[in-house]
Amino acid sequence: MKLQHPENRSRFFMNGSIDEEDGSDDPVLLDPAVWGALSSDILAMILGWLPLPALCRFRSVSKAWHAAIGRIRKVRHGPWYVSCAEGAVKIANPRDWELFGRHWRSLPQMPGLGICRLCAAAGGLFYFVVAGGDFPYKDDAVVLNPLTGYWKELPRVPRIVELRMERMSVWRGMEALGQDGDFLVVNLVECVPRYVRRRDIVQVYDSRQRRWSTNAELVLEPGEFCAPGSAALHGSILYFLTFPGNPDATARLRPFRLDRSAKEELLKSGSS
Amino acid sequence: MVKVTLKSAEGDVFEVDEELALESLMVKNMIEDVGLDSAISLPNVSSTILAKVIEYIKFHMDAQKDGSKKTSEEIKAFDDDFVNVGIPTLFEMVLASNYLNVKSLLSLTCNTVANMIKTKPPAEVKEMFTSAKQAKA
Repeated sequence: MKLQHPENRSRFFMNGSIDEEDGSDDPVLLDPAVWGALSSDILAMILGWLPLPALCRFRSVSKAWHAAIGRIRKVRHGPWYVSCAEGAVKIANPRDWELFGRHWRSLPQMPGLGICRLCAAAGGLFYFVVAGGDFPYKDDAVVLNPLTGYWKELPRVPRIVELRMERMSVWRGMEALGQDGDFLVVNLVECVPRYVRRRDIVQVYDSRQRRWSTNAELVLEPGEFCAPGSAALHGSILYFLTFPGNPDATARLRPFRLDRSAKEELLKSGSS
Repeated sequence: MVKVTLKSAEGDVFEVDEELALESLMVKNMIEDVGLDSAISLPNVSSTILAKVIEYIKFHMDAQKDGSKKTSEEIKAFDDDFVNVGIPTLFEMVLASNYLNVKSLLSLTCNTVANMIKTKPPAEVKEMFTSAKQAKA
């Protein structure tokens, strides 16, 4: 049986859209024999004019549409929505939707045409992680300035050497450093090896030094865990909000000093 | 004024001003490659569509030149009227503006299509856009 869409049903769908002034009562039917054969560039261009609610609905149209629409994320602390489809990143500001009717603005193509994922944003910059394309590794980090459209590939993330890894999850964050466009990229890697206790490893990229810090461990008590997305920068100390294993105890802030050297790090882990 | 000769798919010949033809980036590239002497053949564009595209570019160039004479409402009315055509024509205009690389016309026609489908439930859109492919497969 075919699904019927009565009047009130389609009105419900209409409420989800942002501007609905044009009379869409008259049935405009597109001929599937003709429109089914649209090339993917033109499809992407048509999709660029659709508002967010319509895009979310049209994911279910077909696999090609699903791929073309891609992954849409709201940027934290900012008005933008970012859509990442294969090789193309688009940005939309809901305020522009109301003002200009223009919905999605394409950003310059990413080098390597991979599939990227928006991880964090700070100081007007976006931090993406790229998979596929020309990028040799799975988790290459790229930072984009949406105003100039400049993509900056960060150096390779230092590897974490661990035998028999059971589970590894990465939380990625970004912090702006002042007004000069410098930034910190923070990866908090939770490693759960099979026979050894779990470790939380902090990887920091500093744009002033242009390099990743060596893998340093965030020292936590047994059972204590770090709340994802809780990193906050103050001076040269990065604070992580952690919750202890014991439910009665209160949450606490764990400091992580950014300027400590690798040598110090070795000494500390040796003594403890 | 230098004239450019454009040849449509049916073999009809259109003579247009050079600066008008340069609005299409594809024709601009062709002129740079081949020169102005020979006619530029556009095998993917039919005569009716080419005439419409030329009409569109002409109107917008005039509107930009005069500035004060044509108000933004008039331009908008022209655009609305221009895309208020049959669905097959609209589709061919999307393809033609993509082929000829006329940015403003492409965004206008794509916007029209997006406006048509944006209030529809996905099932209807699926019928419009995908059933041909499924029939082929």
